[in-house]
Amino acid sequence: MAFREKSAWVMLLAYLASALAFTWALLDGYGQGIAPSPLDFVGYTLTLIVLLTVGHIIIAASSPQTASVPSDEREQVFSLRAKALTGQFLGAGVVLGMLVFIATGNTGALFYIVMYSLVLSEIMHAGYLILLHRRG
Amino acid sequence: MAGTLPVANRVRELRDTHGAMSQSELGKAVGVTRQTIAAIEQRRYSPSLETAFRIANLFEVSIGDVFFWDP
Repeated sequence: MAFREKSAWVMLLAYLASALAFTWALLDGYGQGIAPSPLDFVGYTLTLIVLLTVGHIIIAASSPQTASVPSDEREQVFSLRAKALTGQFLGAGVVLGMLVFIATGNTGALFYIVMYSLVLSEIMHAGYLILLHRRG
Repeated sequence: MAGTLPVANRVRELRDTHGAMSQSELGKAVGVTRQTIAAIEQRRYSPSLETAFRIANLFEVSIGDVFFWDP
């Protein structure tokens, strides 16, 4: 498996794990009538950073000869294709968030729609990269 | 060949006739990964013109002897 594909797997798992934990905490608090705290978001961000860093250290240590090699032309094409797709998704999410804000004036909804658009776009990016590496 | 790109190649054959060069060795020589060489050989990826010339030059043949149109 190429280093970039391993990196995409690390990103996918880190984003999925941290997003699920954050969503669980958010829904749990909502069920108990507790307003979301900015500290939850800070915790989510730190968890994500730690998972990404540790994951990349592990895959770099397991294949040091390929970790420092820059991506080649095929991997660059994959990256561009994945960015094009997920950029459109993120843009659509931001527009949706703004429309909801204009219609309702709900800043919390705007924040969470944009945040989840960003998180989902990163998950899509990693997933699409893996698919492209697997397929060709 | 169904489900593959229309540019065929003789990369694997040329590797075999040049001292059974590995995909990793060829990739390193032309500046791509082993996976990219494997994808080229299986016609899942068509290389850039620059990489195609690098491969042809490495094997000391013309580019048409390595890559050819086979839809």
